[in-house]
Amino acid sequence: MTESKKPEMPPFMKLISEALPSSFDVLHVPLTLDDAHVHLLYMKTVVDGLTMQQSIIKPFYELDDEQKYGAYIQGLPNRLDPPQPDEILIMLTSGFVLVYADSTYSILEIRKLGNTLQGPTIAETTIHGPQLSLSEDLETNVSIVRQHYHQPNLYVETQQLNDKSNMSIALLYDEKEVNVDVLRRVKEKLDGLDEPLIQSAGELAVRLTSRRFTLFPTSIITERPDRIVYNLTGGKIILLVDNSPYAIVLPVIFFDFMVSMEENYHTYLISLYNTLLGWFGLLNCLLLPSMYVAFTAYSPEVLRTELTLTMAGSRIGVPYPSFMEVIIMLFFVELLTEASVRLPRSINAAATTVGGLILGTAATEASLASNVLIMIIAIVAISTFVIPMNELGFAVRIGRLFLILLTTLFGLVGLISGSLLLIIHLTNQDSFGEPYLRIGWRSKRSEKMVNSE
Amino acid sequence: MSRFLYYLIFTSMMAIITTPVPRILLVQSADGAIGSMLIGTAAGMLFMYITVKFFIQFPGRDLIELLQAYTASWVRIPVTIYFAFIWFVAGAITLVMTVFLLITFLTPEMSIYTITLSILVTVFFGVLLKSKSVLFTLEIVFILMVPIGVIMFFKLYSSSELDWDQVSLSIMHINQMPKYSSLVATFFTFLGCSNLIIFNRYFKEKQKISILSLVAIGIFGVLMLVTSYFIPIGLSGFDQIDQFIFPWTSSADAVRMKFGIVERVVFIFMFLFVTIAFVSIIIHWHVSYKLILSIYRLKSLQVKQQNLTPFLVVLVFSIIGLWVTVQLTQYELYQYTKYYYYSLPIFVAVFFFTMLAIKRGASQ
Repeated sequence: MTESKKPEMPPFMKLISEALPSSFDVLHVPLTLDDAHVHLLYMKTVVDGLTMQQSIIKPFYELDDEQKYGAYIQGLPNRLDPPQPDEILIMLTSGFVLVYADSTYSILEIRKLGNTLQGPTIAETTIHGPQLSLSEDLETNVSIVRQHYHQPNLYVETQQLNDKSNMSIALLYDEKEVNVDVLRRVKEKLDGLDEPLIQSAGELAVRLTSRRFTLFPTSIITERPDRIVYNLTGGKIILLVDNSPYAIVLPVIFFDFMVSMEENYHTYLISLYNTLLGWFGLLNCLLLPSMYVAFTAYSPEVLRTELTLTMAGSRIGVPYPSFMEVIIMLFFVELLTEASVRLPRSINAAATTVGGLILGTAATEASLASNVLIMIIAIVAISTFVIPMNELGFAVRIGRLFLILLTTLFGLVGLISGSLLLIIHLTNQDSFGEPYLRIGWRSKRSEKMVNSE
Repeated sequence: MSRFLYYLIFTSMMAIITTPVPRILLVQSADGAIGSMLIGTAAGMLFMYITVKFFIQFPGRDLIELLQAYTASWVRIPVTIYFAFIWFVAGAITLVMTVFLLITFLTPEMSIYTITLSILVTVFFGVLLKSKSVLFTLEIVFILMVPIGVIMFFKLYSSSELDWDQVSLSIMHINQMPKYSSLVATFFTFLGCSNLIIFNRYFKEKQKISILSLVAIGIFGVLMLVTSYFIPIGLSGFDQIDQFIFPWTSSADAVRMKFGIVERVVFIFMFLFVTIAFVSIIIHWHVSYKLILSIYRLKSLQVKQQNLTPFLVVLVFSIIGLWVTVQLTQYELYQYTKYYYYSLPIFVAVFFFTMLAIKRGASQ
């Protein structure tokens, strides 16, 4: 790296530069004008070249004096005193510049910002809310949140993960509202993380939960700035991860998953109706397939006679028991859903048409499934998309299979039993010390009567 | 009073439909049941008042803790074992009765083992929950069931099949001497508050028991008793009502919903009461399980950081429950339950004795 013409690199910088790998983008730039010597050490690919030219290189030639230039560097707002050598190495890889001027070392942050573009919301779309989601750059995201939430008590704490990615994360909370216990727990969890590599918000959220086999997510992953602010005011903690357009909201309770941001932008009755629709969809999607099994295979006498006859009539010719029918069709719809997520937009419609319409009709005509079941499966598939949060949708899809299993084994009682078991599973869970499922009444007074352990 | 205490009390009141209580009352319908119900209600309310009043003095402390703090171990251990037994049997009665109800009305072709297992699967995990989670589960189930309960009351009391003349006829027998078995069966309805012996741990704030809450509880209890006693009489007639094995469910089958998806309303009621029964079993066994664990933990079952004794206890509960369900006949269940109710005064005596002992210990 060092050529013979160049002035000698100062010893500390030499130490650092020897520790760096000799890749093409590690640059040591000595600036020399008359007697003045300044050394820069940085990585070209993570440093914003234009800013560097404007704020570091150009002033050097304009000031024409090493002392003045040193004072100038000292006065830059993005300057830090150099920390320990191993920390400097990490800083260099994330866009800092090590400057040696006037026989002092400074470390300047001239990061090339990542993807600062805010894309349109994809996962949670609303009609009336903000249409732009978070960007993929941490600082931009923090600034987005700040611009949505002008409060001096919004605290932003940044830290770095101790894994290989060394990703920066930011912890945002409203200092007045936040639950201190939860905050402490989250920080402990973050410090105690022992993962080789964490790459996205979703991954971090999974690693933060202590239980491995849990069906329901204990934090919300969201891309909407308005949801972040909505949760901040509710005293929740937001985790932003660099290079990820998603934020983690914690702690969450089950009911948070049933809130669509759209509901805040409508009149009371309309949003109530929407909420009820969401819950109805959730119940549909959980219970309908198992109810079909229970009512056709175990307890047809529960329904009114005409309905039972209709269902039995529609099942004429179906060669296997109803639980097989349900499982096959449900599996097929799951495949269809997965396929439509994976496929490019342009082929998407074709796959759905072929899968949904043609195969459904063919299945009934070949009497491999009853018409009633096709209807039920269609309703279930649509209901899955009514659930506001995607993650809950996934959990419900698995919970549904569990209910079908119990109903197949035990009939209608199995369905009651299984639903209770799901409730028990939910109440037993906690999200960073907060009970996951419980009914929080408006008055906080009575809520205190059952204290946490 | 905390809302959770209401849930505990109301649930145990609603759960009497899935115990032999309605039958015990109706068998003596011509023989002093109404008088016994009146006295039983008064006694039950009094018991509830004293119990709640007692536990209010010790916010955030359950009986286990109080016994350990204020009594000698020769008092503590027998009392704890006795209570654990009483609570276990209460849960077991509900379990057996629910299974009999299901096998009679819902799935007659299914094996009794399968039906019992389907209940025990959930109960097993429910009992192992933290007490706090049991309360949350209770609350959610209770609130989910409220609409169904409202439908139930509306349908029952507005149905044209309900013959109020028969109800009046049964009220004519109010002048009969009260009978012991009906009295204790009624008294059992009001025992929900005694679950405080475990759950008081979570009622940490100082509470007070007001006249209004007592009235609300009294009204709900009377309403449940009236529903479980007079509805069968009104629907099935006064004369032969003592012949039914499941008087309540058989009678409720007379009501139908003309335009509903489910025509026989009894299935909706069964859904309600089976769910309540589930929760009731969980609560009873949870109390019993906590009491047993307070006495003894097997050290040999320590696997890594987890002690497996809780699992063992609940497993034993489930196996005994399964065994009892398979062994008992309807008649035996009815007889043994009666004996269990007969023994309730002993329970009350022990309960009050323990309270006194704790109070004396606390005042010293």
